[in-house]
Amino acid sequence: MSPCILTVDDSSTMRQMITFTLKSANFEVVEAGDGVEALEVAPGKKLSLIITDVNMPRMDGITLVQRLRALPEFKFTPILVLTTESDASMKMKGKEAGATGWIVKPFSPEKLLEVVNKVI
Amino acid sequence: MSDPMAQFRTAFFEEATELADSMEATLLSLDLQAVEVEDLHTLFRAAHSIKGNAGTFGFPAIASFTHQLESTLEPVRQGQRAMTSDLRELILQGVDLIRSHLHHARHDEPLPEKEQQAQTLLVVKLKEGKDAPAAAPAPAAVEVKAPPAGSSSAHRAGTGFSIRFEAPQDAFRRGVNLERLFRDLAKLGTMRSWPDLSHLPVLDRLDPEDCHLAWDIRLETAHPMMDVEEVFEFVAEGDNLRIQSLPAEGAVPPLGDYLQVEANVSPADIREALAKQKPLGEILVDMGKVKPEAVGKALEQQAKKRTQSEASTVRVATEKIDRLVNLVGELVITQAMLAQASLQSNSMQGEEQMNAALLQLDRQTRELQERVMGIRMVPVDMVFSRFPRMVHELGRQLGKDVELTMEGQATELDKTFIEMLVDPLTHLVRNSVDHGMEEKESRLQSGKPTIGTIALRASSRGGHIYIEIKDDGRGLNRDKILQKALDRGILPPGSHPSDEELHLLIFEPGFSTVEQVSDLSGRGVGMDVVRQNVRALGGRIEVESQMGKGTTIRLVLPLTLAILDGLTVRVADETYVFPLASVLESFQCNDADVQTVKGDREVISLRGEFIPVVRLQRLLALGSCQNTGRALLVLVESEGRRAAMAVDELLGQQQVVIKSLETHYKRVEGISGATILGDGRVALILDVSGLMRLEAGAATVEA
Repeated sequence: MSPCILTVDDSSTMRQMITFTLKSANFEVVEAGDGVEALEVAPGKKLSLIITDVNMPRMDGITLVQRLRALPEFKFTPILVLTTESDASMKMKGKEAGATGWIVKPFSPEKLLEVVNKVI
Repeated sequence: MSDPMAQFRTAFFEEATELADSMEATLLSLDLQAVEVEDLHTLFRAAHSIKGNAGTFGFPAIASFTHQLESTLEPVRQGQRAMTSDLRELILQGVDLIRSHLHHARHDEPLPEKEQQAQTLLVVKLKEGKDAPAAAPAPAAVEVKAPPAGSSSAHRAGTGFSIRFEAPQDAFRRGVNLERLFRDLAKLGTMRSWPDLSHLPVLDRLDPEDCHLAWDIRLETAHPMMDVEEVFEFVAEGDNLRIQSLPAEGAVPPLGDYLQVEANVSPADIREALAKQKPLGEILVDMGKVKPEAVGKALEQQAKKRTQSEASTVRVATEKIDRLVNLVGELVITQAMLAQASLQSNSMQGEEQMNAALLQLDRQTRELQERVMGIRMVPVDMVFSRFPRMVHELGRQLGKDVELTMEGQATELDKTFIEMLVDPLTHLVRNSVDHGMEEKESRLQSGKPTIGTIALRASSRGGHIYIEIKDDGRGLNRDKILQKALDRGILPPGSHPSDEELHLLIFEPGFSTVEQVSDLSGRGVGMDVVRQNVRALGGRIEVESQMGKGTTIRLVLPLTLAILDGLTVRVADETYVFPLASVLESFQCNDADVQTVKGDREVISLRGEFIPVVRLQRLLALGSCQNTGRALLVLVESEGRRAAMAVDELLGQQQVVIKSLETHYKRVEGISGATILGDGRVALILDVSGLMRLEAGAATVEA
């Protein structure tokens, strides 16, 4: 069974791009539109990786990471944060919340796969 | 927004432009003598970011070109390639090309043909320097300790890295896959690692979710440091990751390195062992042989000496050193010839041999002297290289089209000169653009091409270095300068100075014919500082100017500070040397021409100007003067003041090697140094301004 990845982003175009890229690399993909939806979708999926945007309605990415880490199921699951700028402060915030790493937007499909392969 | 890429593109252009600006600013602020590694990292990162983003947004041309800059900068930031002024110039050109790329990409246009060609040429040049680090187009400047040319091939970035990595304590809780990290690292080359478990707490205090692991890693790889850093991207925080290049090929690694590879001793153990080694001072204190304070003092002295020797390093082209070594070889042969000849000195043949050998020795010592001096010499391009951009920028700000041409950049100057000439030359060039050049309209009206030309020229002739700044601007305004000089009281009323004298007035302190002080010139150093610096180097300034045609300012400098063009004179029984640069003329006069004013001060009237007369014999305490009825006067000038120095005889003009009095004896007012004459006697070199001060002081005391 191929590893399953959850991608969380409020922009459907962005989600589509990520899903398309990951699927073409033989990953299973689950999508969620924001943090709240992600917390509903995630449990029981045996996720290998979660990729989340930061700025989202209802629940932002940083809060999502904190909430996920508090759940025993996701204590050690790799989580990548999509930061909008190469801003060091957002990387730090993600790290403090418990994120494994980050992908700096904008990124190419190749870069996405490169980072994914680094943490899985 | 329907296309997220379009939105990102705008952001990309803005960011890339900012990055290019920061690259330029960093480059321009680099001190090539002491490059900050952090600046090199900044440059590299900027190029890296532009490349990465350009790739994402479908600008492969920008990405691939920036990649060239990035891979040029990689060995530079690792200390494997020197940041020379040539390289800086090339990268600046690269930055301009990036900007141009961005501009055209924004408007969906391809890069114009002309710039395509410039880019191709630039890429070739960047690679040239890379393949032959010791044979750059300009005189090859390599560190003396650098490995010989050719030993390091182009893409070889050392032999690898020694890495110390302490995993962050929250690594597990952040889902970091350390196993994966090591697998990625091993993909880069041959890896050997030693886990360091010394940070593990005792079992009952151990939180299994905390990570207390550290590793020492030795990675042999041809990959650049960047690739290694990338592996650690998510776990590097501050100082928990240290990557060092393994000693380059040719260098002998320390014993610990061999022990790591041969006996699998871990770097942590080696560090521990090294820590047990006690410093010499501590051992001596323990032995009761010396007091701790004495050790502290000695350490201070050592540190001082160390910084001194670091501050005064000169980079010397290896070819210069090779030539010196050859020359010493020749000297040894000559010495053998002389020894041989002295054995048969009575024979005719022996004498001939002796003469031939002496002639050879003469030639060789002269060459040796020149070449040893040459070690201190660096190409004038180190100053010149900053001007094209400066002129360009200035012209743009002022709305003037100015073209800068340069000649003789390879002319070599004493290193000290280069440092002292930066400010004066910058000021002169700025002045030329700012004041010398007319506005476009007035150039058109006077029938000149709208594009003004400034020519920077360096050359060396007859023991002097000439640096010329020539512009085809409006020229100096004779009447205006004269009027100003009269207004300011710099010239006495009714004077009729020659063009030459008049032009030199622009170097007087507080003299400026431009009413409004512009933002560009008129700040910082003034023209008087230019003259001061040039004089301090034993040089002089010449000005040629024609109204409406342009101005040429010429700096005439001695070849080196260690040798001086001197006028030797006799005062009583002693020989003294005047620096020729401060001598204006010498003449004989009758005592009757010398007038006494204020009781004991003597002056002489020379072409309507009263000049103080200094009796060197009295001032230098060589006994009282005998009155011969006639006096021989040497007219000297320094710091804008003139004096006539009375001497007994003019002996001649010669080059003398300056020996510092301070190092050998102590500082003496009025004397700037000493030299050894051909007959072995010591002659003192006179400090003209010091003598004038001395004379003025003496007069005040007596008054």
